[in-house]
Amino acid sequence: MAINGSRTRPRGTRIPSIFMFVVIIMFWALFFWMSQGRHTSGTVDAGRASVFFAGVVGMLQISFGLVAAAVRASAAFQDDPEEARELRRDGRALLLGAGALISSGAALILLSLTGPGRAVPSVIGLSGWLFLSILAAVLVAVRWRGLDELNRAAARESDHLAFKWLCLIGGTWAMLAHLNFIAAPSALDWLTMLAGASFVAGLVAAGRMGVFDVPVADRGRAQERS
Amino acid sequence: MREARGWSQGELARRLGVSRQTINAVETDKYDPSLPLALRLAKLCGVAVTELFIDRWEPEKE
Repeated sequence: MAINGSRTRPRGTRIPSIFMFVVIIMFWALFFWMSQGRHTSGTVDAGRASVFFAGVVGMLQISFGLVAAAVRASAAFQDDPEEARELRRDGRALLLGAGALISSGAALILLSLTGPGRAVPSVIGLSGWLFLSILAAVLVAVRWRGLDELNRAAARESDHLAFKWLCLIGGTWAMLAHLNFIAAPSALDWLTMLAGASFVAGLVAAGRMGVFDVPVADRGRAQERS
Repeated sequence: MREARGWSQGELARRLGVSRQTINAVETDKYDPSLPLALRLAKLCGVAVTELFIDRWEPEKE
């Protein structure tokens, strides 16, 4: 049980947070290590920027997936039984969503590192991308079946927003490139925009519908802990 | 109405078969529930749907 007026964070959130922090730092370090000097043979700066941004978006997806997995793991350490029960009930959806995000992020990073003059040969990159993408699609489909109406509405809203943003950002970029003002987006840029728009739209839609809100009745308890 | 019955958001969510976020989102006016959920909510509370939700729309006078 949380102690009234206590300023220490509950053990339940501290352990997964430390684990999550360490894993995320390791992933980011690995990504920057892999992106250094691996694709410098004859590639232009624009190509390197595309690879870099694809990696950043992929790493953000993986990091957020790890956060979701850590939130699920915190159920075992929760002091509040109702919170622990909620986390266990939503745990399957959280883990499936985390898995889908991590697979999708890994697929994008793999693509960014694949190709002539890059770290991963094309055939291996394609095979890996197919495996990770199919895995992400299966996890999303399984998760969908267990979602309630709010989360399904948030997912639909997210798809709608992502499509609009992709049209706006990609369309504007393509239009400016067509008019010869800037370089055209590469195939990897389109894939990055698609993944990035879907990811950010998911967060925005969920936030708008209050999926991340602390329930009204529990706000007092949350404030006591902070 | 929920609090009058001594139910937490989690308890009400469990009875309705939805997530606690759904109940929270409906109560904080961030989400309008589907008609089946609104009907189930009203049935569970023993009131009419119109007593649960406020609709300020009025038909135009001809």
